[in-house]
Formats: sequence, structure tokens, C-alpha cells
Amino acid sequence: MGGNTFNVARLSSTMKGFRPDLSILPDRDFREEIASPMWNRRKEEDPAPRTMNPVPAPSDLSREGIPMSTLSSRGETSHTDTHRVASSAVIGKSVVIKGQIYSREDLVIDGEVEGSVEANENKIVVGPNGRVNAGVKAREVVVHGSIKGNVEAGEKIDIRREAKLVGDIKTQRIVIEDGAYFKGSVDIQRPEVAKAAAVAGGPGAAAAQQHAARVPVGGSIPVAGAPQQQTLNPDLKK
Amino acid sequence: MHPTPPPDRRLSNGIDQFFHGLRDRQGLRILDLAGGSQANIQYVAEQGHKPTQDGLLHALDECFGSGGDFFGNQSDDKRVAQFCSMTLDHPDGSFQGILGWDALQYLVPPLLDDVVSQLHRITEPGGLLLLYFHADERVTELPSVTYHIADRKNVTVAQRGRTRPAKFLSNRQIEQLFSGFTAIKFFVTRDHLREVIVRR
Repeated sequence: MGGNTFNVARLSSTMKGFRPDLSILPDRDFREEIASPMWNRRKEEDPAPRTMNPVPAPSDLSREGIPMSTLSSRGETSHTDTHRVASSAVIGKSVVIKGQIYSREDLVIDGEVEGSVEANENKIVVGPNGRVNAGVKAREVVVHGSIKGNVEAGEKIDIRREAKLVGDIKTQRIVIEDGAYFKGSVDIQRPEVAKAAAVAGGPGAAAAQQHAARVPVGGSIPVAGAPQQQTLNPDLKK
Repeated sequence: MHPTPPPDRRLSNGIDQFFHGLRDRQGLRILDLAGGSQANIQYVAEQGHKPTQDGLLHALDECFGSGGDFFGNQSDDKRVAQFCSMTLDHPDGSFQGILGWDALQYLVPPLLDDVVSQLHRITEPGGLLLLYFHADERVTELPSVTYHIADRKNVTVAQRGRTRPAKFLSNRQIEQLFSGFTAIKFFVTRDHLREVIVRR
């Protein structure tokens, strides 16, 4: 990975003023997915004009022989923008990984992964070319490509139009676009139950587990796109 | 290419009766053959049940839709084996309720009988199936749709295109098709869609 390190350093040093051309990415939604957290924020906070210094987009990197890249600043530069920009690791579309992946930053998978993927505190985006044959565990999961395996998304899972997911889902919120293919069961967790589970092992864990056992699966369903607080139809409770 | 009109809404007494029949129990496993409907997941979960999705229509399209005749392909053993590996491969008695919608309308015997047998196998004794059958024999083409539960008595209908039904089944033929089940109930509708609840 020496070559990779070199290129990350070079990439970090040239990140200032970087506004990549994401139009080369094949899927519009996926472009927005990649672009939104990284580029929009800076636009709001830093209106000063910057010089254009184009650097290849993540998908270009894979073409150039850096198929897996961590777009993180590792101390080469202290520029805050770079830290913000560099929040996602990218597995390029020509990469095949077999094994376990643990990530402490957001992860974009546009290649093939077999085994398990965990980014408990972060977001995993499976790109349009991404094929994941693994269990996936993350704070948030967005699927444009395909996943075959169980998915545990602490906060939310978003299954986009062209996505294919075969496996069971455990999450607080779920969004499925029309046209997406999903086969499996859904276990909707109430936020407080999920939080309690997250701190399992702590002093309140036992009480939280007892509470979880009492709460029906669909007690309150904050499914995205729907009103957050929905009450059950009283007639149905009879 | 046919333009896709915006989702329509229709009254469904079948949906009402389906969940009414399960009203005294919570945490039931409900299978939805729409294969990826957020509205259905939401509604089923709100009733206190555990939703499972399985895309039978998606499997039909993928296994029989390409090359040759859609209905003719349903006799191709290789394609049938692929279809069986993609859908309804759940353990025996997995579900207390199945939302089958109009999926059976696009199957021809012997595959139709095999699928009914599979539905029988994966449904727990006493469990319910909700099915729709188009009844207007004059039409040669039907809208291919996905049904989303809007509320207790209504579904929204999202049209994906148009397709040809395999065969129009009379009430008698539907009864014969589900002869291995305990009971069958038909609902009268204003349009040409017959709603049926079958009890395992």
C-alpha cells in the first residue's frame, strides 16, 4: 500500500479548492450521494472564491491504479476543508475484497466485497457497481447496487431505485424507492431500544433489554417519508 | 413503451378483512409478494407484525421475461428451477399471513399449481392469503401494477406497464386451485378485480 500512501499524501496536498467533476459517475443519485456531504457544506461555510485545482474523482482513482483509496487527511495538511472533504474511504469498482472490513469513517463500496463489513458509527454507501456478499453493519446504509446478506443499520437504510437487497434488515428507519428489489424480513427498532442496545454492557443495559422485550416490533414506525409520530388506528387495536 | 400514470387508489375490503382476521394476535410474520414496498412494510409493522418481502413478480420477470414467450418459458425446467431458487424458498409454516396481490394471474399450469403448493407449505395452518384476480375476460392486456397499502381499507396502485394475464379464472376455478386450503372467501368489487381471502 506504499503507492497508495504516496498518492493519498499527494491527494491531500492538492485538495484545497477541489471541486471535482462528478458528472463522470454513472448514476445521478449516486453522484448526489457522494457529493452532498462533502461539497455542499463547504459552500455554505466558506464563500471565499478558490482556485480550481482539479483532482481525479474517486472513480478516476480506481482507473489510475488506486482502486482502494482512503480520502482522509492523515496529518499531511491541517486544512479543515480537507478534513471535511476527506471523510469517505472508497472501494473502487475494479476491487474485489474477501474478508472482514472494519471502518471508522464513511465507506463507499463500488467494487465487490465478500465477508463482512462494519462501520458502526458511520455510513456505508454501496455504489451502483457495488456488489456486497456480506453482512453489513453501520449507522446508516445507502444501497444503489446489490447486497446479499443481513443488514443492520443503526439509524436508517435507504434502498434506491436500482438496488437489489436479499437479506434481513434491522433498523430504525427504512426507505425503499419504487423499483428497488428487496427480499427479506424487516425488524424495525424503536430509537430508545436501539440506543439501549448500543450501550449494552452499561449500567442500564439489563433494564433496556427488559423494555425492549415489552415493545412490539412496530410500535412506532418512523419510516422516512411518513409522519414521524403515527398512532395506530384505534379500531385495529380492538 | 406505455406512459406510467400516477398512482391510483382503490377500496380494498380484502385488506380490511385480512388484517381483521389477524387482529387478536401481534408479532405475526407477514409475507408481502410485492417485493420492496415501503408502504406495505410500514403498514404491517404498524399493526405490530413482522414484515417480510419477497419479489415474486420480479422473479417472474427475471426468469421468464427474456427470450421467447413469457408463458411458454414457464415450461422450461431450467428457468423454473431458477425461479424456485429465487422466490418462496422459505421454511415450512413460516408465515401467518401472505399478501399475494395479483401475482398468480401471471402464472400458467403446472407452475401455477406448484406455486400454490409452495404458498400452502410456507403458510402456517390457520394463516391467511390475500389474492386479487382480474375478472374481465374481454381484455387482452392488463396494467402491470404494484399494490401499496394506503390505510385500513385502501390501496394505492402504482402502474409499471401493461401485460397479458395468463388466464382468467372463474370463482369455481379459484376454489379448485385452493382445494387444499381450509376456506375461501370472495369479495365483490365495483371494478373487475376479484378479491379473495384463503385460509390455510
